[in-house]
Amino acid sequence: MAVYLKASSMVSAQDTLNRSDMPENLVNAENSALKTRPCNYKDYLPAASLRRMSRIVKFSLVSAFDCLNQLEDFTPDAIITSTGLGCLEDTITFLTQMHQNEEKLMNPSSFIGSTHNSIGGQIALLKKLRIPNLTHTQMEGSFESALIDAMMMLEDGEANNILVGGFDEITPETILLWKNMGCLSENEVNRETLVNSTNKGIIPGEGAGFFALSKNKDQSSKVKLCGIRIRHSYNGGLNVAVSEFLSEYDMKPGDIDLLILGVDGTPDTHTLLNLTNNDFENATVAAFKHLSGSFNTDTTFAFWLAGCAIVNGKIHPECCLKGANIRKFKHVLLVNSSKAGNFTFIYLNDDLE
Amino acid sequence: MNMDALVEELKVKLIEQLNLEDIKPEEINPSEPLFGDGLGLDSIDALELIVLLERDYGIKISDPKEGRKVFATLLTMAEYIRANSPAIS
Amino acid sequence: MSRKVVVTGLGIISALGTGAENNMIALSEGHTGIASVEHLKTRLKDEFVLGEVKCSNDELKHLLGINKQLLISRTCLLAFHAGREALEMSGLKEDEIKSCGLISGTTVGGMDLTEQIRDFTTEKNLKKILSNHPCGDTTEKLASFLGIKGFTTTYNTACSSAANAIMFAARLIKSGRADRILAGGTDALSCFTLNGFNSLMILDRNPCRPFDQSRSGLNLGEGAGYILLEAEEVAKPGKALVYLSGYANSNDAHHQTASSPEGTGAILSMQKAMEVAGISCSEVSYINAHGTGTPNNDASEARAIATLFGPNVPPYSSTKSLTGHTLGACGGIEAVFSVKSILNQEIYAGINFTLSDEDLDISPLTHNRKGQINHVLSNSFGFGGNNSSLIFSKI
Repeated sequence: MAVYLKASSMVSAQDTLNRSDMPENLVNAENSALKTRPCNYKDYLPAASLRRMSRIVKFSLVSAFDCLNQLEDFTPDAIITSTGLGCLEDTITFLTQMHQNEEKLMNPSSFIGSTHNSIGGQIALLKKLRIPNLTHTQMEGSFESALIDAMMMLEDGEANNILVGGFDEITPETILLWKNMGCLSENEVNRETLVNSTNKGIIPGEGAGFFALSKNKDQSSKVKLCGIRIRHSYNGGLNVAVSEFLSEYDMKPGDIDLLILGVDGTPDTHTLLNLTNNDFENATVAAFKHLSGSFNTDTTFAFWLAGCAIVNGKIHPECCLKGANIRKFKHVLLVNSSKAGNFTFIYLNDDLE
Repeated sequence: MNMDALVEELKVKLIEQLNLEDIKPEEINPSEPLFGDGLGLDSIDALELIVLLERDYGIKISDPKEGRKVFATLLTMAEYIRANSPAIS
Repeated sequence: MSRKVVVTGLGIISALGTGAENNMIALSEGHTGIASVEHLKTRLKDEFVLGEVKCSNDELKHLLGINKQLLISRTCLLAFHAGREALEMSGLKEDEIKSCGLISGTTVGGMDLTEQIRDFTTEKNLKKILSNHPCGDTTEKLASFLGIKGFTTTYNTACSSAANAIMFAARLIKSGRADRILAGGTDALSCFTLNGFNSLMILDRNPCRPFDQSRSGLNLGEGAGYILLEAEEVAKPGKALVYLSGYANSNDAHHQTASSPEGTGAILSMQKAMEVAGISCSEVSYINAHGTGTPNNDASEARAIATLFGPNVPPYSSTKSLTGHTLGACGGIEAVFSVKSILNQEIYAGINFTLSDEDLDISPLTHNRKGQINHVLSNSFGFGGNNSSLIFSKI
């Protein structure tokens, strides 16, 4: 059974909100981090609701509501969110206060905001949606885990429409932590350094992506989501794992038009480049972490990018590592890896027949 | 501190503590309800105000229900502080 | 495909003890695990009572045969105990464990370690400590400790995390996507959560009194509870304990932390779980309530039960009066209790109840009772209006 992507919204370091392609002008990392572009929260959220919300709650809700606003008759039957580290700003605020005040006179707001499911809960609260509301948190596999959950609900007839999303944030404190742990990139991360894989660190990023999935196809269906897989520490070789995954959909690597890889410029993700050696001879190869920054749910950015590529028949030249950036993209495969050595695969195509 | 000064002080603190960014001190009517229809505060704000009361005025409220009575309006809050605060006399 | 899901293994560690047997002895004798603070290093030590697991980290490591020097969160250690017990009970072979999945719920992950860092700029072990922080890392460590290599993921939906994990596992098995999954949850006590709940002013300084008119808050607890779920057709002969027949999650959409007075979300989740199980209100033998002991939760939940069940209100009780509220783990711990109720044909009352709210004409079970127990409904409700219900049924 197929699942259709009807609308998507991405809040990121790039000017991606409210548009269905990559902007011409791209932002580079400042101080080795890619923060989300500021947006006017009041355009999306009730002004009175904003005062207790941290930045991640606000930009994630903007993404969620922007996604829902794009569709006229889309009533979600479930809300499935995902995050690797949750609401860090509120977590850090509460922890810091706890140490400074020696566990006295603690403000409750940051504790309430620190829970991983506070964004899912706020969507339900503000939209009065008394429907299943779940939050996955599995490090770099969080968003894929949520997508699997969503696809299952659609396939098993538990839901017709689902709002699924992922989000993570950086704060000044977390950037400093990355730096102290030696995990920040000392060099600029661009198309060349992504491929060279010689950087010792990454560019931390943040963002929120929300997607309207449906099992019903209509005019607003843009892309077909065919399958997702998380392979835990695969030891038979990545190329074999990818081929096995694609064969479930009667596809071969040679059929893929666009291969989006989660390379980040460090040796950790170098394995992914092995895929480009010969198997995917017909594919344009793209990367995204130099534009989104690295975060646990950064594949929301890649998923958004994949949808845009299929709809528009082009990707931004800055994303393109190999092959033509303007062409028909019928079959798109997204491959990401985790520090623990797991791989995630997402296969989408343009089959709306 | 006289009552008027305390009320003015509370307005500023209220706005800061509760992030009422869009509200100016002069817009708060001291005898208007803070919760529900008036300023629209809720139970989480009440908890924040309990922290404020203890931190800035040395008054400890241990029952949230009592807090709701104290925080009925800015005026009742000021009266309560004047009657109970070791810091204000 | 729609397959029946059976429970074939139980594992638990809580304030009541290590292992299912010790927990059940405490439960049937009404021994409480709520006591003065012994292990958690907090300045609030003398102000509150807690449902601590009565072992230090070193003792937990010793019982597990883990090197004392290993830097690992208490959340993981608790999970290891309960996870190992559930797998041992199920009698799975090594290769069966390898292909098994793991769905776990937790709200704190490695917070018990993170919160001990006083200065992030001078801490020497920073990278090591923080690598334990993510909730997902707790689950990966549990999988690796047990030798599980199947699909692994984590839910954090506050206090309904473990119940949602069990629900997800059941859906995966029912639809034929998986044959066996270990599911449940784990949470260690932390200063972070103790201070958090204190800031919300919903902690009781004395032992909590769920559903009692005088109740004034919850006692935090800690622990882990996991159950092994298998498709009925792959379970080994004689190993199936009960069916996991119903499950549901819904949202109250009322308030960030509080439940609606009429218990809208709770009614929805209980109703839907019964629908999935294909049973009616009159068939529910017992409800293991969420029953935290806060004025708001218990009023809302009791109202929901009264409304939904009408003239057929089954016996209900909160075992949190004995274990404390174990947050992300409670759905797992109470799943173990629910299964045991069916196996022992006995329901457990909890303690400290005297009188119901004035506006309520139902009251919880006050004494353990033997009887015909066919279907047990277990509720877990969390912040963000997150309501989950599970139903376990006699085979």
